[in-house]
Amino acid sequence: MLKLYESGLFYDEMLEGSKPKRHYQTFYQQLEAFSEQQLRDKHHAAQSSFLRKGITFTVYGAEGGTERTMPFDFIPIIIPEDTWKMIERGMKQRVKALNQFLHDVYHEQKIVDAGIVPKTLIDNNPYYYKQAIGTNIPLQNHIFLAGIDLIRDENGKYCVLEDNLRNPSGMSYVYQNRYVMRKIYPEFFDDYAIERLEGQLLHLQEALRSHRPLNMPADVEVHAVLLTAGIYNSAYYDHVFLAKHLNIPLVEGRDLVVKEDVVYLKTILGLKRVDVIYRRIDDDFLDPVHFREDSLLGVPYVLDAYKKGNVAILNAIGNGVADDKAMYHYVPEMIRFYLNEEPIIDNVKTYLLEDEETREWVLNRLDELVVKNVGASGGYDMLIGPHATEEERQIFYEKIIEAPHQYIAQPTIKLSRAPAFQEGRFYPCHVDLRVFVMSGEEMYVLPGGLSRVALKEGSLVVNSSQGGGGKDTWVVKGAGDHA
Amino acid sequence: MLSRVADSLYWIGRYAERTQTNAHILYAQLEYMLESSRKDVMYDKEWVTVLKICGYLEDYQMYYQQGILEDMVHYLVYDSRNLDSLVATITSVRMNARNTRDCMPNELWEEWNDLYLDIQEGTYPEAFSLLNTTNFLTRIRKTTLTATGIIDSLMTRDIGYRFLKIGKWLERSEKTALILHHLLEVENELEPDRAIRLGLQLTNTVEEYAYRSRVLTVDSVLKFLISDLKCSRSVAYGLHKIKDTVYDIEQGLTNQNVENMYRALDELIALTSVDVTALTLAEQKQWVKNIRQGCINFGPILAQAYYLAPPIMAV
Repeated sequence: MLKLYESGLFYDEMLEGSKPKRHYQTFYQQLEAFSEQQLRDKHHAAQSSFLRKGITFTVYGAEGGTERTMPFDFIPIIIPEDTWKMIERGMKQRVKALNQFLHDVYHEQKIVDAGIVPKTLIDNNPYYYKQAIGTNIPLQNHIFLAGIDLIRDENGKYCVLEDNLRNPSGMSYVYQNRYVMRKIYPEFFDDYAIERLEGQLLHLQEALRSHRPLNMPADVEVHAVLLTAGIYNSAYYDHVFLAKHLNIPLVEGRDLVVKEDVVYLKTILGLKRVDVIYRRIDDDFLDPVHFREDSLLGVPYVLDAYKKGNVAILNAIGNGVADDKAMYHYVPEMIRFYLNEEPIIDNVKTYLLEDEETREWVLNRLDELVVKNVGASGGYDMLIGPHATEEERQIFYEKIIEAPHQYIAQPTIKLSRAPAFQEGRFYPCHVDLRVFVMSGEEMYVLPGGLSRVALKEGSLVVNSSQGGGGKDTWVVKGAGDHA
Repeated sequence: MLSRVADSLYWIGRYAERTQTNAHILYAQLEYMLESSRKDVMYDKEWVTVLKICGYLEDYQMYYQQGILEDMVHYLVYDSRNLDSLVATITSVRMNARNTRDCMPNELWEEWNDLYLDIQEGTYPEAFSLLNTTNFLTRIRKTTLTATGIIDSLMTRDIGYRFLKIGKWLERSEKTALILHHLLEVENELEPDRAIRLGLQLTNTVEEYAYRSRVLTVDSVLKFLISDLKCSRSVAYGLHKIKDTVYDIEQGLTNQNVENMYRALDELIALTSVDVTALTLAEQKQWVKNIRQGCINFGPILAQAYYLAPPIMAV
């Protein structure tokens, strides 16, 4: 029999001590039937399937082959239905509040007047685009697709770690992880009734098409495109997958042209009007006339078409103001302010460093805390105090002194763990969960989401660019919470 | 269809065809040469012709000193400085396929990606040995044939499919003209009949020709490979296929650039139907040369008609 481990001081998704939790017991029984060699063979087949299918991401600046696959781990994260229902409600609540906040900051700024969010935090935010102020957008919806990262603490309590409201990637991996799981590990599905993923993309399609530009007549069919930076972009596979399943053309900036404030697609038979652009390039690169002039990825004058209401851009321009790590601190307050509700899922405690007293307190505890750059993502420019060297802590000490508004600090959470099987053995790895929320006329949450796992033993960083992997995530129907 | 996507599909068609033909040519030549001595003067002449057909002689001479078999094979198969080396054209197919994955069957992408990954993983070592090299060429030919099968059995007959086919046919017509052009240039230097036999061999039509004709003359082979509409590798066959396809795409709609394309295509087709027996050898050489040039010129004319953008090259 294969040897697992003791869950120890951390909350473990699968184990209670060294025994599986109730909702993992069937899975565990199946697992016991496999020899180590069989599991190794399956592992190899799964990994190779990703590569052969070209399900890869690009690592910028990596030496050698830059196309990599996300390592897959077959032990799924199993979420009982009632726990999931709570997550789903929490996600909808959060995205609804964030959307209202975005609408507010680009219009009346009531939340500033109410003294909840400081005006300077908005005005100094590099992702607050003055160009978008006062723009009316379809459905007043800024967040077509959100990726909210959740973690569990040592008591198993879910907290939001990060909101991704610009271009969250990874949805294709949710599907591919399930695909590989079904193909290579079919035995494990035995006796489980799991929320299916098929059909969910229809919700995304419906949400996409519901963003009808304000000037568009009601009886005309919406033509949408997915705007990618191209094959060298790290998330290119995600773009291909979504374009294919949304049944819309995958285009690059050079495929589009704006004439008299209308966006057109360059086709072999001439120009064709575009109504909705699901863009997967950042705001800065979207329009070289209005944003970065050196951008080769964007479309000149697309902002004019957007502001005139001739084209919808999803997610909306300027969402970055709501998802940076400093604004994150205020999201629970946003929920209270806009929705008059208590947050269903809490934030992780966050210290803003502009206040001198707090800063001093944090600087004296760099060996205990996690420090993050407010604008960075992907695990970059981040200090994990307890794991860092004295030298690394000194670097962050200086960084914070130099630009306190650029950093936040959080307690080092005992992130929950789940077993991973790599190199022929089981060991505990930290995990998180990216939940995808799709919004148009209706709001949907993709059941499960992308479970990311820090495969480097002891590591807390789950990002694929830093050695993280993926797991399938099951929402088990009819199962109670035995966690 | 997006112009950029149509363009990528067109180039997938071209590079895939180029890969298939060049792999076949190298395979056939390596096999034929087994019975020749490397010291034979014909040996060099034929390899130089193969270099001109599958690569660029001046380019080769820039990087390599002499016509050594190992070097020539390396240049034509592995050398990424040669944009037409097999590894380079396979990479180009794969890059363009990656760029158009949303418009093609997954199986097609996976077939090319598989070959590409095997090359990257070192399954086919660069060091020359007849067995290794022919194994690699056999694998390449299998992939190209499987890919053709996937296209024909799984791909929707939409505009994308048509552009892929246009690329393939134009490449094929141009290549046949190129092969004949270079062979006619050395026709009197090779052994009697060798140039025309080689023409059939390199275009992979030996059997088809034998089935259709018992005489083997320059005239009859030229007629077969240039004008014969039943020969799927003839220049005229490819051009007719292109014509049918562009008419199908346009469906009566037209503009100045499209008119120019029709005109160029009609002139080229008319050129292929000249009676070859009425020409002297010198005239035949010039005729083949003109046809080849016409094929080369047609690419940019097509690009103009459909606003095609430049393809992704292997880097």
